[in-house]
Amino acid sequence: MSASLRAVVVGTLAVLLRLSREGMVLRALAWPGLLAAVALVGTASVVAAFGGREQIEPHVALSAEEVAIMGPSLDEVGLTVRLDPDPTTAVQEGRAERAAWREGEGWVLSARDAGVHSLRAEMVLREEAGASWRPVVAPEPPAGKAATAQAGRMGALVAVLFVLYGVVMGAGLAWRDRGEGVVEASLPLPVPAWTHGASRVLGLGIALGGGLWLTILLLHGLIGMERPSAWAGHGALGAAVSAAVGLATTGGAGAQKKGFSAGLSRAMVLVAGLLGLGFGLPWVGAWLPVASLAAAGAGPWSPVADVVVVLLSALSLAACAGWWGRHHGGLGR
Amino acid sequence: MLLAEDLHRAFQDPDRGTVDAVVGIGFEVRAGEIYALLGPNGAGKTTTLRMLATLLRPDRGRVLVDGIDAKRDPLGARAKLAYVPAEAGLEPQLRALEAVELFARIQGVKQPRQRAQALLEELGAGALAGATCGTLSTGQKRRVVLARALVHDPPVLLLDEPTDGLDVPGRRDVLGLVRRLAAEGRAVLLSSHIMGEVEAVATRAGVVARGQLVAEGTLDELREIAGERDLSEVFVKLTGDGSAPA
Repeated sequence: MSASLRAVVVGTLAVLLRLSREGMVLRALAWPGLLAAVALVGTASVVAAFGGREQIEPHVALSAEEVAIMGPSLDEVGLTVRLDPDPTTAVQEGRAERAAWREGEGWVLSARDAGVHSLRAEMVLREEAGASWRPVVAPEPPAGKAATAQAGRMGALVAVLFVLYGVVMGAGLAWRDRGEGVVEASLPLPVPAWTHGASRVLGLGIALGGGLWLTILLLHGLIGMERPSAWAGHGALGAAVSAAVGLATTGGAGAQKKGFSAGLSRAMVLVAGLLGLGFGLPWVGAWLPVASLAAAGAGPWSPVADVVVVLLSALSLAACAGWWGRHHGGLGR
Repeated sequence: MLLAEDLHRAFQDPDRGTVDAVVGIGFEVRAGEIYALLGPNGAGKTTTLRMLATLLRPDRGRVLVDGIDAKRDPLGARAKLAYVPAEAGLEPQLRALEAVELFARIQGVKQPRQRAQALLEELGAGALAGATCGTLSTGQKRRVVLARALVHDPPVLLLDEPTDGLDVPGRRDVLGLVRRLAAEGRAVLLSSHIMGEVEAVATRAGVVARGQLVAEGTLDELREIAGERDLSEVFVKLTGDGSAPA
């Protein structure tokens, strides 16, 4: 193994070890997944406990005799049939959200609301009674499809959060290492200066990418998500690139004079600009790291764009490491 | 062992324009010698040290580290020297043993963990191996930093204000260590503005003022040049600095 490669590997492991001992970093990485999981489980519990059952299982109360006539038709439009000894009082007495019974040649529908499920029940009853007109309600899309699209948006939000983490953690690491003399102490080692920048970017990228992957996997396991690997992959690359941006804007000798917030705000503006580019010009943003997260909302990622984003991310990281070498290289320049 | 020839370095200052930090400094530090670079704050000591450590590129001049031209082969020169900056520069989250081992691994030292442990024990810091660097005192940090610097057994040692911030026992211990390292055949260059410690350890000294080497020699030779017995008076006279040295 060459000295440079060895320095990058050892340096990356050291950065990971340091990050693993930072309580704030660990909490920041674990928090989004835990918070989302607790919120989801809590919401589901509240819905199940307080009258949300109707949302989950729309139904119509029928007597045993009427079930044989209407049951299959109601079932076809997604309404569950509930047996009730007296459907005429079921809604009034709170045993059901809606109920139906025969009256002469026709049917009566009693409902607590006039929503889409009641309209579906009316459609079936009018058809059965041979009425002169009936409403037609379009079938609902498969329940899973809508939910996974929503979960995909959640994946995007989590990925953007990790991108912002990247900026803050990269800037913070560079700032502290400069202020505490860690950079000054490690530069006289007989390896090129860029290896120190590269190991910091890689260490942060692995920590942030790992945290994002775990969060996305947790959310995907709980609610199912469209393109979980794409959110995790593009998010991890975006987080690594934003960490590199943070390192570059606060790691230089000149940056110390201007203060931490000046470097951090420059990094934030750059990353926010990339995200804005992704939203505003998705056809451009789809090909850039960080921006690809925002651009993906406009359409599916293509394998070609994925490859370009990976390559551009690698180039950005190499540029950051090279910048580190130029600014800290001493005689090596 | 360590040769500096006609070193020049200027900086751009937004208020003062071009500032000549080092102007034609040159000296030699031989094996087994402790050479003290004396001078008031801002005289150019640290800039000189950073050029010797290959952290700064001299505008002019040459540095030879154990025969290796630092300008032509900076990585080769770095392999032959250890630079200990005034600030400890230890990663606060790492344990002392890990901090030393990290440098040993980057340097490609065989059996890095054993080497790190042995060095810490040799420098009287064996008991600190498991302690987190962020919790160490200044003196303890200095020992760990020295262990880290020596991990690849360099023939040249550059120490920038090695006793800065240390209490009296800590200062005595570190100076004892420096003497021992020189006795082992290393060339030691230390920068300082504390006359007492220079008198205690230095074989020769160079006095730096306004970026120039204004006098050089053994301490007795410097006394003779200045015509003063007290080293503090020697310092004031040679540097033309009214501020009293420690």
